[in-house]
Amino acid sequence: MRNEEWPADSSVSPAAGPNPPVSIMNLTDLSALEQAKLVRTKQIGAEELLELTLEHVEQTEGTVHAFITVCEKEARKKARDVDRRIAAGEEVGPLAGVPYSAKDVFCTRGIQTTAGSRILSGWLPPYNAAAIERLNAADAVLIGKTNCDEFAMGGTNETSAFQPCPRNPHDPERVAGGSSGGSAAAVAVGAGAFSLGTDTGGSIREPAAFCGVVGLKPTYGRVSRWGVAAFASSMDTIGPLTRSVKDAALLMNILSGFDPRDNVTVRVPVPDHLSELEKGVKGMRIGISPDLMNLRGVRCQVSDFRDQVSDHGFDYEKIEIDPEITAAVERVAGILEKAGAEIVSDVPMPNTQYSVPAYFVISRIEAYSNLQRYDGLKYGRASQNGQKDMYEFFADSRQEGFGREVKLRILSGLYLSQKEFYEKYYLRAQRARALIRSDYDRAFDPQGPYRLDVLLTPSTPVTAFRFDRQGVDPLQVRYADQFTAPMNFAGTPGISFPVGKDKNGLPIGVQAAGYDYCESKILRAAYAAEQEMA
Amino acid sequence: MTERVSRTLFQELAKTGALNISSEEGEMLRTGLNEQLEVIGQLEAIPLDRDLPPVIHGNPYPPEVRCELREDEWKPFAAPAEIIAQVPLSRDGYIVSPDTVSEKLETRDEK
Repeated sequence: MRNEEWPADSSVSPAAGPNPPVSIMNLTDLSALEQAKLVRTKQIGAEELLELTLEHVEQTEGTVHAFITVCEKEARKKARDVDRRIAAGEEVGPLAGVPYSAKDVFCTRGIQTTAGSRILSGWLPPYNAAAIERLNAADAVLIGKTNCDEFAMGGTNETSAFQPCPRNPHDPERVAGGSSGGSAAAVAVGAGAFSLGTDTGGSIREPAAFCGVVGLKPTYGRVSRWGVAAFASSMDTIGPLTRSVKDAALLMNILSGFDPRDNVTVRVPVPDHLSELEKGVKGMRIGISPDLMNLRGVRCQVSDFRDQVSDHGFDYEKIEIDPEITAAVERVAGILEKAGAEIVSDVPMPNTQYSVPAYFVISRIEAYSNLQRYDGLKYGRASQNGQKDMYEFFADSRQEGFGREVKLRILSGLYLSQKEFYEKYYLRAQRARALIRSDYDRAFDPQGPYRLDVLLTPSTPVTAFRFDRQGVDPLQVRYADQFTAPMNFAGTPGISFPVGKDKNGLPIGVQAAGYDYCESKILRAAYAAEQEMA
Repeated sequence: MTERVSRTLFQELAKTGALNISSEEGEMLRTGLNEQLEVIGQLEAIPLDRDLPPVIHGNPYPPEVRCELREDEWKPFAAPAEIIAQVPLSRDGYIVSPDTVSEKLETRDEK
């Protein structure tokens, strides 16, 4: 049995409360909103809910491997405090007693924070990240830190120093996605009601799609990143992974807002995303772009394509999208149209195809810069090789502490940072960013020809693939973030939400993309689709 | 495949990146690096207007919404002992580091 059933003879039976009765159900599968309501109305204690969740984590971890650290002691302390305050009639936060997890890139005071890297193994931060502070103020209960690709660099969690890495709960032979793979897997199995993730090129939305949960990447600058291990600072964002669109809306209410400690956050009012949901999609303009459904890429075996000829010396191939995923996008468009939205099916997005090479250059250069702070001297893991001098100490500590993918990114970032390449590659990638952004400006311009509110795309070209890559085209794996990375360049928000399963029983994700600070519109579109498909 | 990174350049990159990479792993990483760098050829192929300016963020930051720069003021951390507790090697509240330079400096007289 996956979850505890509601105790029929319990004194906290829902029938005893003033609220509508809750039938026999798996408590750990309830949404955050539902769990919060049960705790607030004393139908279940925060400690009781926590113990059920921890027991569930124990039952599922042997298969799913979602967590690096489970912090039972700190969680019990917080849950006890919530119960005490509720019993005393004190005011509690909107997530009082709701168990959640956070990707292991969020600093958590006194709780190990590794970023999936050996170099931070055992590190206990002396402070909480801004997002953790906000959830703490909302009285949510942190149960643990989830596994991820090392410093969020990857799309499968295979680069984590902590193995075994997360498995897809729908088929443990398949990846959970990444880099927030542990978060997506944890939410999917009910190991916490929601999780915090980060998204630099699709790291919330891709695992959300693979694991069948909701994942929202906000507008760049909407949510403070203070206290989060940086990967590529001009694209890093923080967002929630949840089991319902409503939960994602609630989390955006809590997480959004200006923070002087992250100077890219903005003074833009935050609407009540929950009440916005009720507005529906009537009158909204929903776009579909043929350019995005016919993307081309260069085959992974780079050594093979040098002899092939095309306009620019590269042989581009169409990246095949699983027909079931294409059908799912059309199905969602049909649902939204039926609910009163207008479908605009010819939106040009010609420049989004450049996001992969531009992402490569910018993310490597920024990653190299951000990773220079890890040296084993001030915190984290230090080499014990008995070095002669400081340089040797740094070089040994970093060599022992970083995994191969991170080293590759440091070296490529260094290569591309050379003075002679600054204009040729870095500035060129920054100009390509302007080009990609212009696609979104045109599509969402309220005076323009398309005037979109939401753009619908697949979240990924394929559903979760096997660890051994059997049955999947390497091109689809290489370009798995083709639908998500352009928005990290553009700075615009996107949400991946589950829309059923493919013939193998694997979840399919569809993405609703929006314009700057219009999270409420993409949430409305996702909510309308979710309601219809429930 | 174009070999953008020679063995000599790789050693320089590893040294600058403060990575004490073994020769066996180095060759593996150098091959991977050369393969990965092929993607920048695609970047060179993007048709860009000469007038298109580079941007450091996707979304604009008009003055009315952006964060103003803080004053550069020193603020004490409430619990410095917690920071020092995470230092691999410390003594009396200070971080203990290896010698900054171990090689004998070349002096004018020795030239």
